[in-house]
Amino acid sequence: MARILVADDAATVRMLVSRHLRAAGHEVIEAEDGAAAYEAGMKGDIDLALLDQLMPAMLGTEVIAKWREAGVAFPVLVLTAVDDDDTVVRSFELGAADYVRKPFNMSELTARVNGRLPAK
Amino acid sequence: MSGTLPWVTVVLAASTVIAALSLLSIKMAHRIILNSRGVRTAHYVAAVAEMIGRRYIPTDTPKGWRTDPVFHDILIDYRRLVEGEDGRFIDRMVEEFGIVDALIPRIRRIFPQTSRLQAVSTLVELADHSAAPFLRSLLDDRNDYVQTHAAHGLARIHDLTAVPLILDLSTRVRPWEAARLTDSLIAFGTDAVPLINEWVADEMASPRPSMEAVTQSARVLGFIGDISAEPLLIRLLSSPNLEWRVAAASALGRVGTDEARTALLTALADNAWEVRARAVRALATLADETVGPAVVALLSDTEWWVRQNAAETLGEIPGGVAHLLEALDSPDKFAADSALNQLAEMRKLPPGRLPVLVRERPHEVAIIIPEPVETRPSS
Repeated sequence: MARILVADDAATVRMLVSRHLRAAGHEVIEAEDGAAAYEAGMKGDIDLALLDQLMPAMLGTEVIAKWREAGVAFPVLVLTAVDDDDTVVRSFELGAADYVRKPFNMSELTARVNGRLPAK
Repeated sequence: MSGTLPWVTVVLAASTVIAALSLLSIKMAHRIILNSRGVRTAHYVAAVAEMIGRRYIPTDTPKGWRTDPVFHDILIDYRRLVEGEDGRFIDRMVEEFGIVDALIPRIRRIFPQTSRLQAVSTLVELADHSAAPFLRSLLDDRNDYVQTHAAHGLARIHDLTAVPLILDLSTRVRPWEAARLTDSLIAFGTDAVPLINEWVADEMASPRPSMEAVTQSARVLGFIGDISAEPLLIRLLSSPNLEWRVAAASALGRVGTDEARTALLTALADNAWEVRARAVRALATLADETVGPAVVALLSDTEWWVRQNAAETLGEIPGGVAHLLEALDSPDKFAADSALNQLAEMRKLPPGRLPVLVRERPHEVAIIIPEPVETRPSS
């Protein structure tokens, strides 16, 4: 079981993804904006984060950049409807482990999450 | 006179109190509606996620759900969010809840208009093939919003029989509506191309073809990008109609092959500068090294926009930068300027050129090179 942060301003995304991840045996923490996501990630008990790009308060890429500056190194999957090349490249440059575009396949997303979780 | 003044005061005070109470009531009612909507939204978000997760649709859900716009909105949100099995399950939910059947009577009622348009939007997002005849009937609606949404709904469910109907409708509406209607055809993808080709060919042969609809069709064929549209687009490129030639030139850049390249090279000599400008840009995607000289010739075109497009194309085609560098020394000032602008834009201006440029034309340099340029030699 891992502790996963799901950050998205859309309640539908948080609810659906969280439900699936909990069913897969993970513990889920939700954040509805970039600032809350950043704070949650800084607590040091997150194993993986799923981040939306377009969130209030802070963009997903800004959150990753601040985590990296602070030395936080858990894997981050970007889950977003934004698919411009610059954002994709920027996310990977900042160290995102994966980039998943909406609409997505929930089973595939769960498999990607499981595949990126650090071995314990 | 003095006896009437107190009455006026009383009436004014009473009116003010009544108005204030009315405003307060409206505000409270609005807040109750919003709260209720918020609660329902949260409830539906959780319930639908649970149903998707369990792949289970309970039989005892309240009947009000199927007609509740808030429930519809949540289904739309989820439908946009997921694909694959989850997406198909949401389609099944829509069917089992009977949402389309609930929407159709709302759309048939003309009033209230807001509720009707909302129902149309929902139908477009959630309808399946069974709604195709009804959506096709909406193409004849009096309201252009309904017509356009119906076209997009038909595209979403891939009802190819609607393609000629949408094109026919685009001949009867205002130009901007024709553009919005024909935009819906892009979502049909390559399957629609033979139907669009056939419709455009018939339209071109008719005594009074629709200029706008054919132009928009050419644009759509370019967006879809299927090679089977090439012969038709080449025909349009040599038609007497300027708008058709312009649209065809752009579209050929997206779908064309060697034959399109030949047609576009011919179009570089078109009498209309609009066609030359589009044709030379379209060549950027189709060009090989052989087209360079023909594009270079347009650096001396009489129209600034054509020269600019020619320079941009040279910046993108194989061997084009060499042509731009060569054009810097052209005796034709127009050609030299176009090449200079493009090279500066691409940060490929030879180092020796920059100080001269800065000294002689500082204002232009400021425009074409956004970053500050060091003009003094370093000590």
